[in-house]
Amino acid sequence: MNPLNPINALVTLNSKGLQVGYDRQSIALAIPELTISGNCIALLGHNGSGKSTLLKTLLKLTNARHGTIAALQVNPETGAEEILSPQTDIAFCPEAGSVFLDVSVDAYLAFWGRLRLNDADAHHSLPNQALLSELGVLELRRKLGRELSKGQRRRVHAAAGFLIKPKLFLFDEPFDGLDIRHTSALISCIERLKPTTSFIISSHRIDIVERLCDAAIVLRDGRVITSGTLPQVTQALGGATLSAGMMG
Amino acid sequence: MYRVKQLKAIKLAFSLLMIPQLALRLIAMPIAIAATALFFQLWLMSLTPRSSGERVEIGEINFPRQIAYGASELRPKILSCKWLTKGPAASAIEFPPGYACTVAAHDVAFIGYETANGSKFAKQQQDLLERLDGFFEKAHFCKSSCAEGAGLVVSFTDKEPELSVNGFSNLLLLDDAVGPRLNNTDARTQFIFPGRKNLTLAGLDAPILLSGLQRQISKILGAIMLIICSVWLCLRAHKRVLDYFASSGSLLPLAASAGPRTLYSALWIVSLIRLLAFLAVSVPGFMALKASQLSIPTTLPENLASHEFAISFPWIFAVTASLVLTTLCASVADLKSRKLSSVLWRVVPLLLVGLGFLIWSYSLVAATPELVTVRHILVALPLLGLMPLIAAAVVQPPLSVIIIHALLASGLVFIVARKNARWFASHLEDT
Repeated sequence: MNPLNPINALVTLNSKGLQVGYDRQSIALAIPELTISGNCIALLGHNGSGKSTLLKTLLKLTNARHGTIAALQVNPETGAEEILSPQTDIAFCPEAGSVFLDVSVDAYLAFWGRLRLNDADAHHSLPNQALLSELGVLELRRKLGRELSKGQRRRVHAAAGFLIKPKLFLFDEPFDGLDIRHTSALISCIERLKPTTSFIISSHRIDIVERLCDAAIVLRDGRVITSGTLPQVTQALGGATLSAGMMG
Repeated sequence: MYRVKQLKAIKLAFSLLMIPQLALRLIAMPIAIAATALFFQLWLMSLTPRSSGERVEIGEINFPRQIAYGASELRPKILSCKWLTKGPAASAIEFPPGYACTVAAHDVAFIGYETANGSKFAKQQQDLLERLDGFFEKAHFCKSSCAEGAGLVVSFTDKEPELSVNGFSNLLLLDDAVGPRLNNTDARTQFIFPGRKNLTLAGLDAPILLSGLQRQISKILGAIMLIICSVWLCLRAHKRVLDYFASSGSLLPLAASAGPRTLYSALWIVSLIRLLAFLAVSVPGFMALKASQLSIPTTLPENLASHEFAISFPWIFAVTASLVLTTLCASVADLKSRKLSSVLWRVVPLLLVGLGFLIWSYSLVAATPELVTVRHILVALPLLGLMPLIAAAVVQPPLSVIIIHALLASGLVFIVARKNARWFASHLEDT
């Protein structure tokens, strides 16, 4: 257990000699050596710094040219550290959110339940109904994907991710496009689930990240500038606060 | 491991198709296309072949005679050759009355004309002979020996008279000769043969039964419609499915959750189910229409028992494998959309399909022994032989050729599909 965090659901990101490139010439991400643990790890950096590429590489959606990156977690039963599998242990909410265009929100949630839990009715259980209600998804359940706004799609997909009870939840810009009410609802959901779920959140909302996360990786031009606990990162960036450090 | 991934892909595909709205959108459309195609086939069948027009005569180009004789002019008056016999009646040998009466490719042979059946149809014989004058060179009358090598063989040996046409050029000559023409009183008349008509082409497994050229044309048009719909659906099916999930932003979460290869396999399964939905409606419908045109019993169990339907199983397998290969090639173009080579993946297969059809059509018209071999090789090859293979519903190649096509296409599908999964992974990187 990490002494800095009393929560059980800790994830360790481990990278060795990682190089990712979309073509032969350029390198989109290069992390020679990185080990960072936390219950909620923030991915920070300006646009094009490599945050989304890191998430996609972790999910094995992008093939690394060299090296590896993996998310590890200690199995409470065996005590051994295990690599988390994107297919069974990880949920991912992409930047744009996602709901099938001609499918109702209810059917979409049933699809994810059927796919990951073999239970198409998982979203009908009482705790999950409460979760859906909190995220404002319950009132959308009869709407089709094409009728949803960007923020609504994001909430629906986040809800689908929570339903499948992942060990690790990857969020790519989760608060972008959300109104104040639903931003607050999503924050409270994440905080409530932190004891059982780890999070890696890529975001430009430093204020929220400071509130939610206990560790951070700062990227620039595909390279890690600094990483560690939030105080360590703030100090490394030379700012009084994380926001001030990022501005610099 | 491979099997587990396939099972996951099947589970994912069926999870997707269990969403009613999604299943409706992805499956209903091809079924609607198939139903429309069937409707058009019925409509084509109901058309009258020649509602107007007179025969083209001297001074104008006459394509049937131009193809058969290299000149459009009417041929000299038809030479009548009554064959002689020698020896006892039971084992009599037949021979032509002179050197001028040797059987040639554009001659007509009347077999069994002296039988009771021949006498019964004497008037029709005479009428036909008059019609063929100017189109065919010699008319041979014999018991059986004059049939070999003749362009048209009119047989009265069975209860029902039979007219066999050898080769397309003779079919064109016959069609022009017996087509509608104006008589002295300006009334339109058309010769109708009282029995069965069939077309024999070199290299075909069985003669094509002609119950009127109009019906034959409607069948060919029906087959072409089936080809166009299938190829179009194949080319678009995979792209549609891929685009559907990409446009809803679901591609990345699905790929992350299932694994890119599993998702890709699942998308292929969904695409194939779309194609099968189309074929399931259109092929049996097309076969039933064809059977009804040929007066074959139209109930499905009887059709399945017939020779035609016995070869239709390898045919359906070969058509499916070949269309899947075409689709795979088109999908490579979609996946490599940012690369110049994608144009080649899209255009070259279509060009090969078109080229194969042209060569095959030519080989049917000019049916030399070499071209028959070329035709068989062509039909056996995936892509090049796709359209002739689908047209096998009308023009039937040997069964072995269909089986070779099926095996080659399946092998190529396996190879391209494995490569395609890798290209799909790099496509996701660009998403």
